[in-house]
Amino acid sequence: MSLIKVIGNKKTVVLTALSTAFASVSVFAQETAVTATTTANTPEAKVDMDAIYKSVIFYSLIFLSFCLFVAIVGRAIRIYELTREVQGKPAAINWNKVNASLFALFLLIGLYGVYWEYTVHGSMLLPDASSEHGRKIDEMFNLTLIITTIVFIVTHILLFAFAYFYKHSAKRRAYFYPHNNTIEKIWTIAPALVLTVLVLMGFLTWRSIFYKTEDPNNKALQVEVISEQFAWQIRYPGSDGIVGDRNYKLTTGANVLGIDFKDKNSRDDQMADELWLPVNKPVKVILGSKDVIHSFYLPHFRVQLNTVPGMRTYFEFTPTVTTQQMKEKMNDPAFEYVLLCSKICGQGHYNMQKRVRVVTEQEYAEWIKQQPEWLNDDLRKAFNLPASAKPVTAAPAAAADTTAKDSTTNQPKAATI
Amino acid sequence: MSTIAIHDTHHDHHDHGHHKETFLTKYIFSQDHKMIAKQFLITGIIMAVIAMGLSILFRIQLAWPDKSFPFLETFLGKWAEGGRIKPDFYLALVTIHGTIMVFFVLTAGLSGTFSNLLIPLQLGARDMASPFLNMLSYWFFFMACAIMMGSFFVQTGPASAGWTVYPPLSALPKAVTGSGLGMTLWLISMVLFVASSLMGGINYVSTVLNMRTKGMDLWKMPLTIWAFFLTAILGILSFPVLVAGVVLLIFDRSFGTSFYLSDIVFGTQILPNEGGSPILWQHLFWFLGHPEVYIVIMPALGISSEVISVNARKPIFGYHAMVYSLIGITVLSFIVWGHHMFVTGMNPLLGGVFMITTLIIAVPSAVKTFNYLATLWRGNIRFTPAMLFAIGLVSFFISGGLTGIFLGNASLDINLHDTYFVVAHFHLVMGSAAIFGMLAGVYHWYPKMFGRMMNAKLGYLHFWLTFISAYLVFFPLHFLGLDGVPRRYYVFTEFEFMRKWLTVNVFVTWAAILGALAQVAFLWNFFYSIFKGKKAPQNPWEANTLEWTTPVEHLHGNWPGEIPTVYRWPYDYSKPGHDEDFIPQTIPFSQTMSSNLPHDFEGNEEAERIQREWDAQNPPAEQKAPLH
Amino acid sequence: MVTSLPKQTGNYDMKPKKFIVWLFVVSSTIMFGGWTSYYLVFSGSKGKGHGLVLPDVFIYSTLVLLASSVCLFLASRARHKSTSLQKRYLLLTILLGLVFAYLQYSAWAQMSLGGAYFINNNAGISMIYVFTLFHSLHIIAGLGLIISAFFGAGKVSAERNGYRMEIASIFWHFIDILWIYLYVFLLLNR
Repeated sequence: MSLIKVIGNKKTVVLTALSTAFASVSVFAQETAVTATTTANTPEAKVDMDAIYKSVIFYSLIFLSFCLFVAIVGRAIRIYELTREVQGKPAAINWNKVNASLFALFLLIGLYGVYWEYTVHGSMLLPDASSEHGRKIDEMFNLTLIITTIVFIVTHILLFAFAYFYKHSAKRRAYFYPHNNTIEKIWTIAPALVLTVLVLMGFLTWRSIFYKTEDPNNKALQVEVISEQFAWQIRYPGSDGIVGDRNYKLTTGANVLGIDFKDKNSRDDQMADELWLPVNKPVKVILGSKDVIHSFYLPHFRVQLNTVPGMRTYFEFTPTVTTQQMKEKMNDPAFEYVLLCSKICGQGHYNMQKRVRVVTEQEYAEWIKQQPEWLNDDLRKAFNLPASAKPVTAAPAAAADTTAKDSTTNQPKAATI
Repeated sequence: MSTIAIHDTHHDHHDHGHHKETFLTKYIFSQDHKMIAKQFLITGIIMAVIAMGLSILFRIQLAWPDKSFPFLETFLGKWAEGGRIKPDFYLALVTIHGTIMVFFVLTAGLSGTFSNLLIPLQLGARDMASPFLNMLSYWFFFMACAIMMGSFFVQTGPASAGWTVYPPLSALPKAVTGSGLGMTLWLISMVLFVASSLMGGINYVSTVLNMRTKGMDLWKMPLTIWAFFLTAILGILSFPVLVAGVVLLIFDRSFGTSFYLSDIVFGTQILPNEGGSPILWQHLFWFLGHPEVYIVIMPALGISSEVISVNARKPIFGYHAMVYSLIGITVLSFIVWGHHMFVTGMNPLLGGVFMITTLIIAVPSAVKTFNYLATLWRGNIRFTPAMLFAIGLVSFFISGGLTGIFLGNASLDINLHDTYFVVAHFHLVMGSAAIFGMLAGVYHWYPKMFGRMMNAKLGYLHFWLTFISAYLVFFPLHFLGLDGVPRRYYVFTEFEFMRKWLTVNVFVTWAAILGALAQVAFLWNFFYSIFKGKKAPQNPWEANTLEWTTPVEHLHGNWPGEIPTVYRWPYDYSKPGHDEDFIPQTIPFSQTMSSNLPHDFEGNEEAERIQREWDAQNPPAEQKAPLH
Repeated sequence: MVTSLPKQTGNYDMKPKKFIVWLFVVSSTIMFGGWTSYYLVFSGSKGKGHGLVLPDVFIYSTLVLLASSVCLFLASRARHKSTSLQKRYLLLTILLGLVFAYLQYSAWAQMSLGGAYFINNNAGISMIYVFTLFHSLHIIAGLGLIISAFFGAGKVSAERNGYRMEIASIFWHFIDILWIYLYVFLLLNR
C-alpha cells in the first residue's frame, strides 16, 4: 500500500514541480542561449531553439529528479520511523536535535561567512572619501559599523546558542521567568544611550555638511548641474562667478536650459562636457531638473542630492584628492570619478553618467578658459542683445515667439487666473 | 444559567444560516472570518509566487546582462525581444514586484489572513464586528490584485516608476511608457486596496475593542492580538493619507491639474503645469509609507512572539514591555517618514529632526529583540517548522534592523540613499522577516485553518533552504550599496567601477533561484496537506490561547456552546507546581492551586486569602520559584 | 456581571457596528487632514493660497447644511413620540441635503464663470474643488444612511430604528462639522 502511495506521491511531485519550475527553467537556458544570440535575427534561429528547449527540458528534469529524490528520502525516513514505532523502539531521529545542531552549524558557518564578506567584499568598496565632509561621514560610518557589528555578532551567537543548548528534552522543564524589570530597564536604557551618541554625532555631522559658514578668502565655486532624461548639463558661472537665472519657459532648441540672458549674470556662463573641479576649493553645486526627479550622486565624494523640477537645491563640498592622485593611490591608470543618477528616472536611468575630474587650481584655470559660452549669436539675436562683434539685426520678439509656439502648438491651453 | 441560555439562542440563530449555505455563500461570498482568512491567505500566496517569479526575471537580467534567453521571449513576448528583457520592462518588473510584495502579500496576505483568523478566535468572539464589511474587504482586495495583474496585458506595459511612484515620472506618460494606462491601473488598484485595508482595519479595531469574551481584558490578550490591533490602528490613521495623495495624482495625470507638477520641459516641449511640487507627493506618500513598513512587520512580530513562547514552553519574557514597545513603535512610526527624504533637498533642519525620531524607534525594536532572546534562554525548545521560522525572523530582524541604524542617520544616508544598501536593508528587515513571520503563522495555525497538519520534515527542508538562500541573496547586496551602486539599474556594465560586482550578481541570482525553488517544498506541502494531511488534534502545539479550545471542524460561530471565559494571561507555560507544562487561558485559578503565584491575583484580596489558606494546608512543592 | 449580560447580548450586533462608523469618521478626517496639510505646505512654500473671494453660495450652503443637521436631530428626538413626525423630519433632512449638494454645484459653476477653473496653475484653487467634490461624495453616502433610516422608520424594531438613526446622525453631523472646518479653513488660508 505504501508503494502505491509512493508512486502517487511522485506523480504529483512532478506535476507541481512542472507548474512552478518555470523560473528555474528560464535560467537554465543561459548556457546554450549564446548560440541563439548569434543567429537571433535570422530565420535559422528556429533550428537553434529546438536545441535550447531540449536543454530546458533537460535542466527541468534535473530539478524534477531532485524533487523525486527528496520525495523518496522523505518516504524512506517515514517507513524507517514507522517500523521503529511498530517495534516499540524510541523515535529514530530526534528532529529537535537535528535542527538545534543545524542552528549551531549555521552559526559557525555564518560567522565565517560574515568574516569572509567583510574581508573580501569589504575590500572592494569605495576608496576613502575624496572630500572634506566625506571624511567625517566615513568616520561616522566606521563608528556605526563597529557598534552594529558587535551587536550583530553577540545577538546572533546568543540566538543560535540558545537554540542549540535549550533544545527540547522530555526530562527537563523550561524555566518559568516571565519578567525582570531591572534587566528590562537595562536593555532599554543601554541601546538608548548608544543611540544618543550616534544621534548626536550624526546630527553634528549633518549640520556641518549643510550649514556652512562662508570663508571670504576661499569662496565657493558655483556650478550648476541640470538633469534631464538621460543626461547632465553643466553650467559654469563665467568670470563673474555667479550662475545666472533660468526660466524653463524660455527653453528652445537653441537654449536647452532655458537660461534667462536678460540676467547679466547669465551672459558669461560657460558650458562644459565634464565636471572639472579645482582641488581644495569649496564647490557649491546648484541642482535643477528639466523633466523628472533625478539624483546627483558622486559616490567618491559622499555627495548625493535629488534634482527636482521646479526647485533649486544646493550641495556644497570640497574635493580634496585630484584624479591624478587617485590614479596613483588606486594604482589604476584608468580611474575616473563619476557622476551618476541614483533616482529612478526612466529607461535610461542605468546609464546617466558624466565624468568628474578633480584637478589643480592651475589646470582648472587653463581648462575653463577653453570652455564655450552658452550665449551664442543666435541667442543674442533672440534676446535682443548686442552681438559681440556685429550690430543687432534680429527682430526683438523672436525669442518670445519661439517659446510661445512651442507651448501653444503642442499643449492644451493652460487655464490661467 | 441565564448566560448559557442567552448564548445558546444566539448560536441557534447562526445555525439557521448555516443550513442554507450554498457553495457560493460558503466558499465565494463567505462572511465567516475563518473562510475569509483562508481566501486572503491563498490569494496572498498566489500573489507572492507571482512577485517572486518577477524577481527571478530581473535577477536573471542582472546576472547575465549580455546573454539571451529565448525562453523569456516565449513568456514575455515583445517585452523581451530576442530573449533579453527591455529596460522599460525591467523597471516595470521591479515596480510591480515591490508593489505586490509590500501591499498584496505582506499587508493583505499577512494582516488580512491572521487578523481575520485570530482576532475572533483568540478573543472569544463569534465573528467580526461586521462580517459583511469583512467579506467586502476581501473582494476589494481581490479586485485590486486582478487589476494590478491586468496591467501586464496593457500595450504600454505596467507601471514602472518604482513602487513609490514619484511624480513627475509617474505622472507623465512621456517620461516612461509605464506611466500610461499601466499607471492608471496601478492607481485604481491602489485605491481599491486601500479601501479593502480600511474596511479590514476598522473591523479589526472594532472587534478587539468591543467583542472580547468575558474575562479577556486588554492585558490578557495574546501578543498576536496586540500586534494586529495596533497594526489596524496604524492602517486607519495612515492609509487615508495615501488615498488623499493618490487622488491628487490621478487628477494630475488624467485631468491636467498641477498638484505635483511644475516647470517641466521635455526636450524643448514645455508642459503647461505650473506651481505644484513633486516633494509634496513624497510627504503624503511616506506619511503612509513609513507606517506601512510597520504595518508589515508588526503582525509578524506578534505572530513570532506567540510561536516562540509556545514552542520554547516558556512565557514570553516581559509581556508588558513587549506591548509597550509595540505601542512605542506605533506612535513613533508617524513621525519618522522624513528619513526617506533626507536627500530630496528638504530643509536640513527637518532632516535633523527626522533623524532623531528615526533612531529613537530603534529602542523599542531593540527591547523586542532582547526579550525574544530572553524567552529562548533556558527554554525547552521544540523545533516545529513554525518555531524555526520564528527564530529566522528574529535573526533577520536583528540583521536588517542594525543596517537601519546606518540609513536612519541622515549624514550616512547621503551616500547610501537609493543604493543597494537600502535594498539589502529592507529586504532583510521587512521583506524576509515579515515573510518568515507569515510562514511561521501558516505552519503554526494551519491545523486551525484546515483541520490537518502540514508535513514537518518538508517544513524543515523549506526553512533551511529559504533561510540560507535569503542570507546568501541579501548579505552581499549590502556591499554593492557601500560601493555606491544605485538600485533599479538595468545593467551594471555601463560603469567601470560596477563591473567587479557582476560575478556577485551571478551568485546572488543563483541563490535567489535556490530560494525560489525551495518554495516548491512549501507550496506542495501546503496544497497537498489541505486534502491529504494528517488529521489535526484539537490542540496540536499544547498552546494556551483560546483558538485551540474550538473544535477542529469549523462551524459558523466558532464555539458550539457558550463562549469560554478567560481567567489568566496566555503565557502560563512551564509554570512551577503545575503537572503539565501549559495552562490554557480558560482554566480558572481555583483549579491550579498548586501553581498560583501571588501576583496572579492582581490585588484581589479574597483570592489571595484563599490561596494563603491553601498554601498553609499544602506544604509548598520544592521547585516553586520564589522569584516574583 | 450577570446583570450586564442581557444588555450586552441585545446590542451584540449593533454596538461594534456603531463603533465602525466612528472609525470611518476618523479615517475620513485623516484623509481631509492629508489634503489640508498639502494645502498648508503648498501655500506656505508659495507664500499665497487660493487667493479667491469665495462665492457667497458657500454661506448659504453652510446654513442649509446646518439646518439639515438640526432637522436630523429633531428626527432623532421625534422617533420616541411618533414615527410620522420622525419621517417628516427625515424627509426634510434629505431635501436640505440635496439642496446643499445643488448649492455646492452652483458654487463650482460660479467659480468657473469667474475663471477659477479646476485645472489651474494654482493648486490652491484646484484644491477647493477637491475639498468640495469629496465632501459631496460624503454627502451622498450620508444621504444613503438617512434614506435607509427613513424607510426603516416604523418598519424595523424600535431598537434597530434607534441604531439606524444614531449611525445616520453620527455621520451626518460629522459631515456638517467637516464642511464648516473646510469652509473656515479656506476662509483663513487665502
